[in-house]
This record gives sequence, C-alpha cells and structure tokens, in this order.
Amino acid sequence: MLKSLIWKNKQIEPVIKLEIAKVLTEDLNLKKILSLMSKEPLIKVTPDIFLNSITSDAENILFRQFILKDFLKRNDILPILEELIVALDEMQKLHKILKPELLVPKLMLRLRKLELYLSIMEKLEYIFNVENSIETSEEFSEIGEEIKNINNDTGLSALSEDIKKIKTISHKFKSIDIGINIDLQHEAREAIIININDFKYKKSNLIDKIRCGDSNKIQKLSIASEIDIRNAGQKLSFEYELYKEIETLLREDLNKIETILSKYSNLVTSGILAYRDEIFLYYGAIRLYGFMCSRQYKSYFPKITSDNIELKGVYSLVMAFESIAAEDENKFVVVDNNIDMSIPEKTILITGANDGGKTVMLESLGAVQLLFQNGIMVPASHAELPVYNKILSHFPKDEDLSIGAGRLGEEAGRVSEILKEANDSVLVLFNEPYITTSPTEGLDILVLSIKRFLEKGAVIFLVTHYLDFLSEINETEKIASYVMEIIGELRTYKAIRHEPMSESHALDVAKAYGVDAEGIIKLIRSRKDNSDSEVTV
Amino acid sequence: MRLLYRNSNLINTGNEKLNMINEILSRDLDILKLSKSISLNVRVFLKPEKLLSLMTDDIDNILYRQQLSKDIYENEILYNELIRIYQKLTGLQEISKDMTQASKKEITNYIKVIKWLELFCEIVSDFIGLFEKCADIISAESLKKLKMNIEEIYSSEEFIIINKNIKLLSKDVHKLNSIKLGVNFNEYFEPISVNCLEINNFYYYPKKMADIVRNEKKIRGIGKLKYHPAGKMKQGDIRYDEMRAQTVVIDTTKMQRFLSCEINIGYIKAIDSFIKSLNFNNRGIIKKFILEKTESIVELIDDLGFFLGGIKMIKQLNEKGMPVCLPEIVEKERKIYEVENLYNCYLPFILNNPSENIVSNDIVLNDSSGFSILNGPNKGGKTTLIQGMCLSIILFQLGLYAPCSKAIISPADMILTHYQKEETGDKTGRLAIEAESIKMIFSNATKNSMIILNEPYVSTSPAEGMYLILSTLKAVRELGCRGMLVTHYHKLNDKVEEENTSAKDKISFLNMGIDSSVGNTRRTYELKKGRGEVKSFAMDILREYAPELLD
Repeated sequence: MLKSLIWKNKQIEPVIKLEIAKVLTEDLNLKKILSLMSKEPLIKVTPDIFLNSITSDAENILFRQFILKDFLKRNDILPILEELIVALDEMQKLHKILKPELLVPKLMLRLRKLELYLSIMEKLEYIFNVENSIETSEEFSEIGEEIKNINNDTGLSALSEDIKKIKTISHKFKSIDIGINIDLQHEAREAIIININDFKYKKSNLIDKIRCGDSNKIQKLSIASEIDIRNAGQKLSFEYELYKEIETLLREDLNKIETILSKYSNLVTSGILAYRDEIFLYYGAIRLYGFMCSRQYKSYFPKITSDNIELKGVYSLVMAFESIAAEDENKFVVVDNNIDMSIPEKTILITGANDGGKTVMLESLGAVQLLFQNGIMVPASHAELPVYNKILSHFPKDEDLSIGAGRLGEEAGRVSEILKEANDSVLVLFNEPYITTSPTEGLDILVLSIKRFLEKGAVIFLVTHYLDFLSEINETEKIASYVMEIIGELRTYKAIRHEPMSESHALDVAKAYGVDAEGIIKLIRSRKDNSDSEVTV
Repeated sequence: MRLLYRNSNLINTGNEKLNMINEILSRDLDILKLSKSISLNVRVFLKPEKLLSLMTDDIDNILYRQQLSKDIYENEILYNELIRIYQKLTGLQEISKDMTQASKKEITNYIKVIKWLELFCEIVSDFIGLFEKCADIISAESLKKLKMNIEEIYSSEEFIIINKNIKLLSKDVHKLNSIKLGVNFNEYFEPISVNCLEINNFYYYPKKMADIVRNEKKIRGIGKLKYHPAGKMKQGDIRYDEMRAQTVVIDTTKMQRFLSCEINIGYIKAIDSFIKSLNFNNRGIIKKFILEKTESIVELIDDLGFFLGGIKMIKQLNEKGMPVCLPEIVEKERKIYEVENLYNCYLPFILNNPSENIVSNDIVLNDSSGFSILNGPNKGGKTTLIQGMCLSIILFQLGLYAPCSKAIISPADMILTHYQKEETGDKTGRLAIEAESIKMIFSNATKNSMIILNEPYVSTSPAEGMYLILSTLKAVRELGCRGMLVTHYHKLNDKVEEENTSAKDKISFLNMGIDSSVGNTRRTYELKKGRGEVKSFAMDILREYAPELLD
C-alpha cells in the first residue's frame, strides 16, 4: 500500500488532543480560516482534519512543504483534487455500509468499490506524475513512482475492462412493476412484484382527469410474490424479498458477475481511505494560497528555529475573511505587524487600548503556529518559528451554571488542567484571564499562574488589561511586551514593542457608543423629552 | 378564545426591539430551561423568546391568568381532565400539519379532514362533560368564557349534522383498493424513479414469482411476464384507467428508505387526484363548519398547553417541598418587588433534598431603595440569586405561581439584562460589545423597567471599568428604575455612598454572606443588607479548583 502523503515520520502523540481541539477551534476562530480552505458545501476542511494533522516533527513539516510547493507549480491541480476528494468521500460512504446478506447487493457494493478504487488510483497517478517540464522535489517524485508501481501490479486497465463487462450484464434488468394494496386508512399494506422488465418507464405528466367506469379496459388480476410491508420500519423487508427474487431469476447472470469479481478478491479498497484527510489538507492549503494571492496578501513557508520567534508582516486571516463578507470592505482593514521573541524571553505580553486589536493579534499568532505546524504557508512576509509538542489556549467563556463552580472556579480549573500539560515544548495562549473577581485578587492570581507556567518552561502569549502585570511579576527579562498602538483616539492596530501603557482608553469606546457619563444621561433625557420611551409589552 | 388574554388587544404581536430584548434575556437567564420545565412534552416546548413574549405587565391580564392558574392548581380533577383533552388537541394539531391551508379550505385532503372532524367532535363532547363535572369548582373568568363558547358550538346545526354523519362520510373513499407502480432501476439494481401506472378497486393476490417462471417455460433470463389471474374477476371490479402520473426521482443513496417514503410520495399524488373526482355530499356543510366554528377550539392548544405545563412545574416544586405563591399585584408605578423565601426555581431540579439544601432569601426593592449593588465572594451565589429574582418576575408576569412563600410585585414593562459575552470574532472588541449592550438597555428602559447588570465593564482596566460603572449608575438614578448591579469592584462602593448623600434616589447595598469565623471561609448563600467584605475571597477558589497554581 502507498505510504503516507503527509507523514514522513509517524507521530506518536498528537500535538492537539481531541478534547483540546474543540476549545482551540473556538478560541482561535479557526472555522473562519478553515472556510477559506474549503469549497462549501461540497468540500469542507473540518477542524478535526486540520488539527489532527498538526505535527511537532520538523521533518514532517519540511516534507509537506516540499509536496505543497510542487502542487502549487500546477495550474490544474485544484479541480483534480476536488474530483479525488469527491471519490474518496463516496468510497468512505460505501465502506460504512454493513456487508449485505444477499448476493445482489453484495456484488453491487463490491462493484462500486472497485469502480471508485480505479478512479481514485488513476487520479493519484495523474496528480503525482507531472510533465517533465515541471521540476519537482525528490519527495514528490518518489510518491509518483510508488503509485505507478502499485497500479501496474494491480492491473488497472484489466480492471476497467472487467467493470464494463459487469455493467453490461447487470443493466439488462431495467424496471419492475409493483402492485400495492391499500387499507382503509389509505396506508400501503402489501407490495407485490408483478413484472420484471427489460425496458424503462418514461417520464410523464399528471393526467387531468380520471375516466371512471370504463369497462372496456378491465385489468386482469396480476399475481406475483407477496411482500409484506406492514412493518415498513424494517427497512430491508421489501428489498430483501425483491433481491431474493432477482437472485432466483437471474442466477446465471449473477454467477458470471461473481466470477469476474473474484479475480480482485485480494484487492483491499479500504486502505485508500487513509489518504482522504491528507488530500483534504493539501487541497485546503492550495485554496488558502489562492485566496491570499487573489487579495495580494503575502504568504511564506516558515523556517524552523529552536526557540526564537520572528514574524514580519504577519496579518489576520480572520480579518481577511471578514473583509470579504462585509458590505463595507473598509470596515475591515487588514493590518500587518512584526513580532519577535528571543531567548531568554518566553512570554509575549499584549496590552493596549480596548478595541485595539489585542485579541485579533493573539488569534493570528495562534493560527500562524498551527498553519506552520501543518506544513502550510503562513500569512506573513517572513517567518521563523519553533515547533511545539502541544498548543493550548484559554479564552474567557460564558458561565456554565450547571457546573456550580462559579466563573472563577471554572476558569481556575481549566488553567490548572493546562498547567498539567505544560513543559518547555508547550505553547499556551491566554486571553484576558481572571477578570471575574476583584482587580487586586485577579492580578495576584494572574501573576501566580504565569510564574507557574514559566517555571515549567512553557511559552506564553498573554493578553490582559491588568496593566500592572509587568511591574508585579519579577521575571521581566522573560517577557516581550507589546502594546497595540493608539494615536490620539485612533487605533492603528499596530503592535509596538513597549511596556504597558497606563490606561486602556475605554472612555473613547464608551463615548463612541454614547455610554460615557455625559452621553448616557443625554440619551435618557432626550428620550424623556421625546416621550418615545414606551415599548409595547 | 384565548386563555392568556382577556382582550384581544392585549395580545403581543411582537416588535423588533422587544424581540431583541427577549433574545438577550433568554440567553442570559437560560430561559430554555424554563421552557422545557413548563412543557408537557420534553420534545416539544415553546421557544424561550416566544415564552418571554407571553409576559404581560397589564394588571387585569395578570389577574385573569392567575385565576385560571389557581383553578387548575387547586383542583386535581380539572387538571387531569384538561390534560386528557389537551392530548386530543395535540392529535388534532398533528393531523392539521399534513393539511396545507389551501387543502383545508378546498377539502381535497379528504381522509385527513374526516379524521380531523371525528377528533374535533370528540373534544367538544369531552369539554361538555368536563364543565358538567366541574361546575362547582370553576371560578376563573377564562374558563367561564370557554364554557359558553363550547356550548355554542355543541348546539350549532352544523355540529349536530357532522357529529351524527361522520362515519358515513368516509364510505366513498373506500372504493380505492390498490395501485400499480412502475419502478426504474440503474445498473447497480438500485431504484431511481417511480411511475404510477394504475389505480384499481380490486386487490392484487400473491403468487411466488419463481413458480411463475417454472410454469412459463419460454422464459429466459428476464422479460415481461404474463399475468396470471388467481381467480375470476368479480362484477363491478374496475380499473380507473392507466395513468402515467408524476415521476418521482429517487436519490439512490436513500435506497433503503425507498419503501417507507418514495412509494408513498408516488401514490399519494395519484390518490389525491382520485379523491378530487369523487362526488360526495356534505362538502358545503363541512367547509362552513371548519371555517366558522372550529378556530376558537384550535386556538386553545397553545394557551392550554402553557397553563398545564406551568402548573405541572409548580406542582413539581411543591412536591419537592418548596414553597410557591400567587403574588399580590400592585401598580406598576409603585415599583415594588418584595419577596419572602425566594429561591432560584432551577435549583430544586438539580439538587438533592432541595428543601434542606437550598438557601432562600428575602428581597425588598421599593420606592426608597429600588436599585442595589450586590457584592459577594466568588462562588457566593450572586448570579444564582439574580437569576432567581428574574425568574420569579417572569413567572409572575406569565400569570403563574412564583417560587417564594410570599410576594408583592409591581409588574415591570421590561426586564433588561447585561451579562458578559464572549468576543464575537469580528472587529468588535469585548468592551465595544458591552457598550452596545448598555446603550441598548438605556435606549429602551423606563422607570418601570427592571435592569440587571452582571459584572459590567470587566473587559478593561479596573480604574476605567469603575468609572464607566459609576456613569451607568448615574443613568439608573436619572431613570429611577429598579434593579441590581453585581460587581467585584469594591472600591466603587465608597463613590456610590458619596453620591447617595446628594441624590434623591439612593442606591442600596446588598452582599452574599460569607462565614470566616471558623478556619476556612464558608459561603452561606444568605443575602445580607450592607456592603459586606471588601474582597472576593478568590484564593479560596484557587485552593479548591487549582491548588497547583498556588505557591
């Protein structure tokens, strides 16, 4: 069987555990990024596909980068991958069907699986064996060679001929007549096969009226096998009888079909399903690249470093996504930034004005890391990044009253779970933790928590409004502090390397919405004056 | 005929603003739980926003509903009989679902109409029986009105005729006995389309196909087989001609559902046409009856379901040893909310031994102190308390019993809430989301509103957050509304007290109790007057849920 298209080395422990995947998807708004990689509703790159593929092995990352770069050299690659994905999805559905008891559905299921297998392998051969004019990497060429050899061993052209033969035999049987007896409640009670035909009934229109009592056209009683559909909920009851009858009547032809299919009894079609998610990943990456190019956004295949982070021109794909959907494109300006962190720094701290882009920045950094560790190009003009064994996040959540721990208790519990996973190869993203308590206590708990993570060597990206955080925590040399820039009241969404400022400029935001001290009183008084305050109940 | 509304002009037709307010309220207070609790069927319940839209602030209407609640709650017989009738009404609704509005008026969906009428007649008769049995115990105005309405229908000419002849009406349709379909298959032996070929007044008789093949020696492989009659045709048997009816295309991936769905689709269209052609009598009477007489009963379904479900929940609370009462109603303008032994009505369904484990509280909001700041330790029960308070007002304004032992309440024209929201992921930051929410509240609230602010302005620096809260409290004073603000910003209280000295409307202080007298601190869940402790005891929480974070 063909080796993996994305794993050069097997990954023993997943970077993103199943239980973390859902949290990460919500926190980093991954669905929006994944929708850029998808062609909905037909082809959907799901969070599972994306997150399950993430690797902490540098060789795997490089392997995928090579393959992807080679794919990107071809103009025709997307439509072929789409066809391949559709075929793989179809194959997946067929493999979910329980093995039928009766001969006819059993043979037909096997036929369809072989047909799909043929189609999939032909497409794979086409994809990985390019014209000589396009230079490809060694990794790419090796895969192409391997597919060719597998197809030759299987004997694909012979299989194709055999499938045609089978369908010629099966398609002699074209339609059946069924008589349905109806009870007093006008429910169907019995279905009876009257005829098996070698012709098809044509489409026709509803007639306008029924001629009653025309004795010249009395229909003789028809008889055939009785099939009881009283228990129509047992979904196989009618088909079971139908196929039993077909088996009897078409025994000779079915034997011929069985003989042909037995030549391929050793061919395991399910193995090919392993490539479904892998093809999805490459497809998604190519679509993402296409999106970036179409908008003239930069993209880059990051270099791998041991500890330092260097990002130039990094921007938010979520904002890019929003800008497509917005009526007014100017509402969503996509701003790029430069971020770096070098030894001994282990934390990127982001503070700044409300509505200044802190959360967007945090999400972007998280998304970049995930894309990189999937071997995919990142939204930046240049990137050098380390690889982490685990990536975890903690963003504020609505209170779950059923748990009974209160918001702070729930939050502390979540952070504690994350701490258990922490080590020097773990990245944790925190967005405004510990705001659901008094400010003094919240700051104390935040400082405690970050210290614990630093002790374990974890890398942290932290957003907070606790502006005294940097002065409270002793290990400032481990912290790269960024502030989201504000000039006057204007948010530039630029991150500048700076200690936290003294305020969050909340008043600007409040004023803009008319809920500052002056604005809110004005609002109430103007309503009183206009007497338009009544809302009908 | 509405059980919820004394006059039809009180019916809430909904407006965009109110819908938006209710949507927020529904989410913040988890009204879905309430919807499910007061539904008779776990799978079918009112949408939370729809439930909230049934609230009324009209005193007469609240009283109108309370009368019915009282009658049903206090009389087991009435409750049980109404449940039985309600189940039949839902049966009526099920049948109606299959009938389109057009069909109902044109009576083409004959069979379903017959079934519907049969059930309707039964329901009317059941109601007559109920009112006879419960004549002495009914005092609610709505039930008396309903009785008059039912008696009118029962004595009408149309009802008498239909009730008498209902079984005769269905006879015509029994001419139809069988139907023949032609099913096309693809090369995988999967059905792909259906054609209706014949409609007959005879039945098909079975015989094994394999036997046919044996007898018919010329058959090779497949082909059109000849018909083999099992017996002679009887006189009067007819075939209603060949029909090539509408083709139904079958999705081959749904092959296994073929029988239960697609055949039905195939022949129902044919049957419908067939029925249309029949001449049957009484069509005019049926049409008139359905159009003129039945609406008032059909309308009952939702209202009756609501009351029965509501009383079901109240009875369950009672069974768990929890007190309930019908609040005394006072004028809106007095802005009173005084309750004794209030509890959160969700808790008895979560906790064991609720009567022992739930802490009830008394709350007083009135003219002299309509708005309070609520402090307290983390996990001290603040959110649970304000939720409980709002739920009691909602139940009161729905006309149901409230979860407390005694209550005097002025209806609120709106309940407006502000809870923390997760960031939406578009360009709007959390503070902006909060500001929008506060603006929405003060753009709509009146002096007769109830405002609940649960930890506002935490998504900014503490100093700026406090400043914005103070601005909001100024707005509360300006408006003169009732409500509560929950906050951990203890330093705020000094400023508020300072402002109280010169303000007409004082803001009071409440706090959730904590007992730190014996070693470890313990949350009492008791509501106390006054400012309470100046900290939130967050470290206790850490010790309990995340001891690894501590030194």
